[in-house]
Amino acid sequence: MSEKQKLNRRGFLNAGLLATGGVAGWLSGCDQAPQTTAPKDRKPLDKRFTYDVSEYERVDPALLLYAEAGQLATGLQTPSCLAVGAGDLLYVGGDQVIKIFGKDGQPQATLTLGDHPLAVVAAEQGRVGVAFLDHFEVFDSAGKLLLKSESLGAKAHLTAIAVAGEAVFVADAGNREVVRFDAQGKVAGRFGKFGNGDGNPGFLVPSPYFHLLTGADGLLWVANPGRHQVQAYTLDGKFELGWGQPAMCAEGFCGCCNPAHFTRLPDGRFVTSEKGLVRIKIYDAKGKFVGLVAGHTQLVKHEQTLPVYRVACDSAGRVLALDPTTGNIRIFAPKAEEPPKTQSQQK
Amino acid sequence: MKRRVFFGGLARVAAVLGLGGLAGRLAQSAQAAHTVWQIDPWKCTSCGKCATECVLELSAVKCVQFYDICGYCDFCTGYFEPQPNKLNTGAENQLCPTGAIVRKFIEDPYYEYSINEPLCVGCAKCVKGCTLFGNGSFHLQIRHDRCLNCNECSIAKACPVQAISRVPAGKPYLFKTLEGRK
Repeated sequence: MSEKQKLNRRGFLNAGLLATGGVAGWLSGCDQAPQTTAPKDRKPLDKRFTYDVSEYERVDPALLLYAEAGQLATGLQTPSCLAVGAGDLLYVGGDQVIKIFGKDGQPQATLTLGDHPLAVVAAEQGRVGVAFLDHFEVFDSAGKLLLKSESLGAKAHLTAIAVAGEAVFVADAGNREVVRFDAQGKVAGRFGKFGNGDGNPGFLVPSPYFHLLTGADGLLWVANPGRHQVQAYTLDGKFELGWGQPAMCAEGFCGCCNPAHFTRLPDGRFVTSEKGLVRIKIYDAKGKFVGLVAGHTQLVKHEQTLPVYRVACDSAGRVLALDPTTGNIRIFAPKAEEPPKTQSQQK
Repeated sequence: MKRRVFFGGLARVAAVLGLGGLAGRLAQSAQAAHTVWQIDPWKCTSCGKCATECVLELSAVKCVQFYDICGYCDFCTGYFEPQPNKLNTGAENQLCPTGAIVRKFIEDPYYEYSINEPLCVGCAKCVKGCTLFGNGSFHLQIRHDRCLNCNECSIAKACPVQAISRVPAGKPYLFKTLEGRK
């Protein structure tokens, strides 16, 4: 071996060692590698990590007092509201129209609107009140605009409309209050905003589900979803009473905020609609649980798209539920053999 | 002369190695800076796989709170068990198995809920509770202070609804805005 070869090998080794040291030094200067494992080597999460309310989705069949009697296709892509008026005319809103159906389900008329309706009410003499995001409009039976209210501002999000004589009430979920308008569409009063000192419990409205209606008893009934109650107010905004409590079982209102919607049967009983655990239930006039119209398994087809049903009742006591996923009205009729009425109803 | 040759060769090797390393690191960082993995909250079904499919032992996926749409509920269904004994911070009432959600009183009757991220395993239990009953302000996001930005994300591969995709690194988070829904 020549002197030149020996030196070259030594030089090569020295250079290699230095380079290795350099690379090692560079790597050691990097962030410490985090601990990793192949996902296939992991155990799946146990039950503690799974949200499960399936036990509450099942309902006792004995509590189901209604059965589905049919469906009415509205043809609306984005149905948003419904109401029943005189002669059991059915008003369904969505897609910038109000469609009117007769008692037999046949289309009667269509009112064309300038915006997407969020709530509808059938008033006297065939007039129709329609709530939009920040105001409402009143039309006659031929679709002629009679009144346009003043706007409630950019924060408003109207979710319900009701009529009592000349006064119009709207539920404003954006401002969490009820607003009363006069016959000219001007604001005549407002109440229920939390902490405004009007002596009311205050409306807790975490999401845009805030319903109200006027009753034959002369009271204004308002859902207070964050308090899980249906509450009664005088027409000038004084709190009278409330019923309802939070519970996942059928007797209570589930989740953070329910009921999402409600209506009243001709005999004064309440029909409530809940979101989350989707169910439509009956309470008597004093707020005592009576039974279910339909439960989660009857009302939900796909768990990924949980619908929120708006409900209305016709003069025969049938419950009409607007399915937002299909645009159909689902019609529920009382079963032939209804269980005996509760004591409170017999009184 | 021999010493000069040796040092000359050494310098050349070091220069080549250094240049190679620098080029490699630049290429890697350029790719990483271009896009990152993220979860589309509108597509996520809270299946729980994010907790177990990440290559990190403690997943890079965490629950985040989008305060803009939170209802600040007293009875938060992302914080409380479905049927709590009481609406207080007792461990038996809390939904999160690791106690990663902090409940703070704001003013009657509103409470703020925030995530203690080091405790969160990304199981999405709270996300499901919040989405089912509330506004869905809790949702999962890949946290980029932890994510390794793998070429092939193992969670994306396992996601049953293809909710995970690459997004521009300049906008690395996807929140539940109406624009995002479109």
